[in-house]
Amino acid sequence: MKKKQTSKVGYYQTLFKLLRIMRLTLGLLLIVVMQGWAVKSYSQRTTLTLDMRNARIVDVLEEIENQTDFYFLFNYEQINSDKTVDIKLTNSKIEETLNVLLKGTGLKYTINDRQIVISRDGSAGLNLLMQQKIRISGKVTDTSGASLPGVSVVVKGTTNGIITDTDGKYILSNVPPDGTLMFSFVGMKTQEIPVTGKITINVVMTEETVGLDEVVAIGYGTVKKSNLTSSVSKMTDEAIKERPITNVSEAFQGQLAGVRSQAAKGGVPGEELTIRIRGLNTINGDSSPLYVIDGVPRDNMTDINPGDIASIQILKDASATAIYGSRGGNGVVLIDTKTGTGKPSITFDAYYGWQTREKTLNLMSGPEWVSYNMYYRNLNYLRAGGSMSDPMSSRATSYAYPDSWSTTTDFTDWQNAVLETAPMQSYQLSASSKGDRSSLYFSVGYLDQDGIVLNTYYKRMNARLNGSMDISKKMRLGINMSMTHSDKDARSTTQSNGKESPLHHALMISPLMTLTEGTRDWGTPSAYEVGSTYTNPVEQLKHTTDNTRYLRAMTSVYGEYDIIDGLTFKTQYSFNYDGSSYEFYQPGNVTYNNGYVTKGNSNANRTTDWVAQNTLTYDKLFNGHHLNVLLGQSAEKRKYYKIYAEATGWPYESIETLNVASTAVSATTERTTYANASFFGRVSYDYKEKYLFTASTRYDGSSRFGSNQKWGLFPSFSAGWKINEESFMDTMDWISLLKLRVSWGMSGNDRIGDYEYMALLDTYNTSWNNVLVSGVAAKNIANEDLQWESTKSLDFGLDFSALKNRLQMNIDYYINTTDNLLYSVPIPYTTGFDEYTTNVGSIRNRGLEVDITSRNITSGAFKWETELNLSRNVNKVLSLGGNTDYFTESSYDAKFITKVGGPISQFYCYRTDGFLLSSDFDDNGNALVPIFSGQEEGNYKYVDQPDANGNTDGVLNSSDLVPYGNNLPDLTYGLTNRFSWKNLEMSVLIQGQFGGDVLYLGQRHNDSGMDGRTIYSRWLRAYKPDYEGLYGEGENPVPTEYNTKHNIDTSWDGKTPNPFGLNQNNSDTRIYDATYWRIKNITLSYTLPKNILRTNLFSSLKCYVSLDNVKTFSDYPGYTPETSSFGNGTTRLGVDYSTYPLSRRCTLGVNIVF
Amino acid sequence: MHTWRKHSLLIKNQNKMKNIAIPKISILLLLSFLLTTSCDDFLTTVPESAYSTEGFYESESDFEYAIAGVYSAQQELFNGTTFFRFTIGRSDDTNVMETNTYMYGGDTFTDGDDCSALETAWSDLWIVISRCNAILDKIDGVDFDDTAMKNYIKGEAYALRAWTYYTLSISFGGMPLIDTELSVEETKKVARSTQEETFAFVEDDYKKAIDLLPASWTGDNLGRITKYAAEGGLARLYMFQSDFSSAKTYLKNIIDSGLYGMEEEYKNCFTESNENGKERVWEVQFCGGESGEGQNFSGASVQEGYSGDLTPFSGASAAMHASTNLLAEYEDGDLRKDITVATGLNINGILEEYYYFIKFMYYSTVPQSTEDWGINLPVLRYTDVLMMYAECLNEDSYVAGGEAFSIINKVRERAGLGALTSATVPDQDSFRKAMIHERRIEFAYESLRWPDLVRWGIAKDVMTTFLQDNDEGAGIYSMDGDYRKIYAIPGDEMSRYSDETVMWQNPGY
Repeated sequence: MKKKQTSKVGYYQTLFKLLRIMRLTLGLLLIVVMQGWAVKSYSQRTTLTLDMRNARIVDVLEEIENQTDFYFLFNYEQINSDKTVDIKLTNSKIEETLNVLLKGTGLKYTINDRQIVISRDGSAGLNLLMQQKIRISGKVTDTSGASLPGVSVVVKGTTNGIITDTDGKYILSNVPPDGTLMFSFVGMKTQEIPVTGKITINVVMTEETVGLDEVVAIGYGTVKKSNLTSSVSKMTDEAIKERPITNVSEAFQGQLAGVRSQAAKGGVPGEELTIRIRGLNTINGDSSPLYVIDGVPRDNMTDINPGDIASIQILKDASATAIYGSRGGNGVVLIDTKTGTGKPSITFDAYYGWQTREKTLNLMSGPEWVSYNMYYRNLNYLRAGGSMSDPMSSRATSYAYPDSWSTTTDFTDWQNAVLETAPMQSYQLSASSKGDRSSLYFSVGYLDQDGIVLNTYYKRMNARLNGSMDISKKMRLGINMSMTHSDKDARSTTQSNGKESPLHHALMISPLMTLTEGTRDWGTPSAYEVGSTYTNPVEQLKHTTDNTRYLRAMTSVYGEYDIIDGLTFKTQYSFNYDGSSYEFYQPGNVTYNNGYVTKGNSNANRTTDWVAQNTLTYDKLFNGHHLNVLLGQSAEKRKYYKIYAEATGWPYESIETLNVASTAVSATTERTTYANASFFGRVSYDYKEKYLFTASTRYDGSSRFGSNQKWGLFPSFSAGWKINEESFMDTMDWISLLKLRVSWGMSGNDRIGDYEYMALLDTYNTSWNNVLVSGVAAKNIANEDLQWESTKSLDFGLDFSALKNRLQMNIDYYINTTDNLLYSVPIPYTTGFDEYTTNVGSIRNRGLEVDITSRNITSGAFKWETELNLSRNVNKVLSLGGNTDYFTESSYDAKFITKVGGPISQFYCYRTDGFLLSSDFDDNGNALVPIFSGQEEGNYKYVDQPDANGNTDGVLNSSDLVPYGNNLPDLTYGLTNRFSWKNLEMSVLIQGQFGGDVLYLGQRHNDSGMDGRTIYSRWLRAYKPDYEGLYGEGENPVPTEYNTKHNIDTSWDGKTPNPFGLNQNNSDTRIYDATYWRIKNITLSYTLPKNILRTNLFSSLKCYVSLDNVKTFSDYPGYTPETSSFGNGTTRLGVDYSTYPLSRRCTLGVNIVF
Repeated sequence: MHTWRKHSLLIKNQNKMKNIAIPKISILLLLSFLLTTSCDDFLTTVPESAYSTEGFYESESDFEYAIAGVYSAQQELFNGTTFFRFTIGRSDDTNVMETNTYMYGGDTFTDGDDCSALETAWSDLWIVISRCNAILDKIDGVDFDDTAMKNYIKGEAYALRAWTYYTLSISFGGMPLIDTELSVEETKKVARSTQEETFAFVEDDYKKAIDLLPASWTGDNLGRITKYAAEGGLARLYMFQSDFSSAKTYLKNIIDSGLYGMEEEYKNCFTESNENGKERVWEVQFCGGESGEGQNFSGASVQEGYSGDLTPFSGASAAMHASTNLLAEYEDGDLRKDITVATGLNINGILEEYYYFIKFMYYSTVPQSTEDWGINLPVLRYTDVLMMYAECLNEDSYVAGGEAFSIINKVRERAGLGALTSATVPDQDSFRKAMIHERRIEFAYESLRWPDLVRWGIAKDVMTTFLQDNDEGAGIYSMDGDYRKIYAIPGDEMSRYSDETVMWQNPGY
């Protein structure tokens, strides 16, 4: 207990300090920014008031320094005298002041912005130097001729510099005639221009699209992209802007080699996509990467405003991720948000769009349903010994159907009824500015997206403030703050129990049920009249609340101090709040299978965490040797709290909250704490940027592991050789970069529960004599040796760039082996427990990644650029430890197997080999081939699998289940083409995958041939034995008359089995190839030319049309083959169980800069 | 300790630069972290909302919670349909139309080792055993103020472990005999014993329990296992082994206790309002009113889509039906039929011809959800005690019009049926037949029929005949061998062991 208290005190102390710092920083920030925005020069606008008697000149100068930002340079000997002056001035300008002060002293002055040089008239020294220096002016423009404000102009090797003004103009004094001016601007190529006596230097800045001199973040530091020795991908806001991206993860699709972004839950508004980097490195369940947002480690990037993102970098190999040690094993996503740049400007972004379903399932129409169910009931009657010639009235109700079926035209298309065209809109206003000592960016954004399933929605408000300032030449301070509120309602379409989703019900409900039936108050028609009914899904979607609200606040402050040249200390402290509240309410009128009892539950949770990080960086260049050393420490603590309450039975349904419910079911709270502490270091060395080496290590401690295994060490090494820098390559100057890389490293994964190494007790209550009694028992087995999962990765890379960087290519081949897999291993039930969290076995991911960027046409009005990325990953389980070589999982009637030698999570099912035909039965109807009992002609024929010796046992049973197919694709790709013609731009993104499989679990209900429900149309054309042969002449159950009238074809399509008898659901017939390609996005944008704007109000205006999810090409019968309904469970991948359909979006947008 | 060295290294580096003005704030931040936390303390987070097993099992109240945890595990087994599908569904009392869907062939003798429902029952049973072992391992080392309670809790643990091993053994054969807490690796080394050895273990446990348990409980403790419940369990074990003389001794103890009696009305053997009454020797306790302690077996006795008065809810998918064979067994005028089964139920608007079991649907607290049935489920009814006793008497020797007759006639009288006489039941064997008939009807849907068929040695014959019925597949199925008296060890458990020298499959499967 004592220990806990100590750390608590520390926690509040630091927190308190943080708050004080924040206040101080904010105050300072505002002052500096206000100064930065003024237009007049400092000496012009500064005035001072002096009233001094008998003061020495030095004293007066000191007072001026106190009152203003001016500072004086002078030779103390020269001006030091006992002579005193009386000076009295009010609101006087500096020149005026100095003229009065220095009159008759023989001293003169020169003002350079805030610097004032005082020298003795006629003396050499400083004065002489001054005279030799010159004043240079000029204008900086971009390639289109527009002036560029905010460009930094510095005399190389000095701190003497200035920023261009609003017209892109600058005047820089005090420049040595033989000096060099450096012009730099974010996103532009830095230029160095020798002065050589010129007094006017105009510069045209070019955009840094080439990317070779681009800087890439690598975790606690940056490196020039061309000098990378590890595998890092970068994505800029190109992929985000001018697209209706509602959350950042959507932008990942098709953009980066080695990064798979999967809409695992379909198109639910506000749902984050699943991101996987270089395959699956764990079987534990969570293969999500670590997210580092503005330097702060996070578990996800939910609700980050896409509009605030400046760049995203993905660290892929372990030599890059090892610096994040225990949490880098699944890759690291570094997200940097925008910072203030340029002159003060305001940007307004807005779009409005419409979403429609991307696909409609090919389900039975009303008449088709009637035809099928007539056939089904007729046949059931025949099978029970009846005859088609009997009058309908003689049939029992379960075999009969109403006469009205033949004539009705009153059908409901339930799929249409629950899907709609949904609007979406987004507005963002941001302001950005960079002065000479500070920069500031802030933004507010609002997104409002309706889902295409009735009444589902997502709304989000974001605000962000990023600021930094230079306190002195050596010290910089900064702050990043963001606040997000989101509100979404999925109307219980995403619950894990897919079969109870209103969306799923809508797909299987009978078309004979009308929109005004199927609730408690309206009543439900009988099965005899309409077939299968469910609670009216339209009403359910209307009245169910399934609402989640998030409030997230992230604050981080940092300070940097240049201790000596090249040595920088950085400290960063961040505090984050992550709160959510959830409410579920379903009025009894529309509950499913719960006796019309109103049910509700609610939970709220909050996670608060703080992260402290301190780093020391030393960077030195000497004689071509470049050394960069990083040392660092970090600590993190996260606290989680949750409250949950549930109730049933509301007296009235007009109020949704639990306080008015009649029966409280449960109320609980829960708390957990997680702590992480680390020390890390990195040494990078290169010689003339030709030979490059990096080594790093992180020593990480986590509270999640057993006392014997709290700490782990994660080293890495990498090297690169820029062959193009060698002299023998001099003749091939068309190659601008040819670099070989090799790296090896280790990183880990600690994504398990917080106390899994401990044996914990849980409550297992009972009752005696109808009184509740509290019971307690162990819920798991302790494992003090529980430790990190560690991924060792070897990466070979080739970076190539040629034809003045018009063609760039990166190729990587990697082998990742993950050992000590964290897994809840199934253990014998005789232990009294089901599983045991431990480290077992290893898996390997091997893969190849290719990124190609080609600027096909660069000159002239028409430009064309192509980006292609390809990734292939092969996943293989190498061992599962102990004496087990596989384990299986099941959900509903689907089974999965993870087996040594195969990939993670294969489907585990019966194989089929065509159909049982009449030739498979003898004259007595006995099967000649192995069948499941109950199987008939026309059912699927299942394969009796041979055992290890190649013998079949002639019986179909669980020994015939085999691994078949898996969800991991063979190859994923993305292809972006950008065209521009004058001010018109177009980009087309195509994205897809080859291979991989998806299991259509919705098949259980709407594609298994059952009667009553709405099912796929194909069942009309199911296999039909010779009924007249079986039941006698005229005994045909197919309603031919009705079919003729409605033009319904019931001949066998060669693919659909006889629905009678027995077909095993758990077979290969519902596993589909997940290969697809999709026109993901087409954007057309037009920037209004300056001369058309004819106003100074905007500096640019751009309009665009963007189409998302234009079309998906695949053979899959469900909504989307991309899905994985059981989400993160890596051993149950690739299941589609009533997935929310993807939406096609068409948006119109505008981007205005003021 | 090495972690501390790292800290000091960092501090030293900073000290080297003491002449340099490092921002004070950063130093403070760094120091505040370093000073207030030593790393290992920092990384030791204590669970704040879960008890750790460390420090548990140390006081009297710990064991009171722990024994409730064992009862909870037994409740779990009885809550739901999976366990009952196998204790009830395998017999000739239920129709076999559920083949391959929910019974996994358990009713048609086509079951293999891949039955996930049976796996759930298997797992639940072993949880009961492990919780008993945890108590029995530690209770002797703890002082109780209430020493009687210490004995009672031990007795309950022995009785529940005995009942569980008995249930496992008659369902799956000989079991690994684990009577203490073992590690995963140790558990994997304990091989299956024979069914006889397991029965001997059960006998031993029951005897220990009988010595420790109270004759009855009062107040809020009513419903806990008593000495007589344990004696009844032991008697049932002897009956299963046809050791009638041993069984008789214990059954007589129960009868002589004077604590029990038959309910005057058959229905009251099941109604919620007569729970823990004179008929109920041992029942698994449930409690409604959304206490979280309800069961859903009762509601699952009728088909999903049901609407009517029996239950406020729809039932479950694929509820078991009474077989026509069972219905035919009822004598005319047997009052028990309408209490046990019902037909013409409205399922999705269609009046079904099937008979569903409604025995466990006589609630008095209206269930609020499908999981909220507060009706207790019987393990041992007093009528069963009497009937087993009658069976023992008859096995001892047939006495025309003797005590055995008076017992069976009391049961028949309650059912509105006429008495048996030595004229209609003239000898020992015909009395056996009468007993077979009477037990079937009296205990239909109470999980006793199948073990009875097995212990009488008539399972194969009865089931083969039964499966000839037109409604039961007309001979497609048969009980193809005595090996099917027990089920296959769940295949999943086999792979969890992956060692057939320890956990081997039952022959025939």
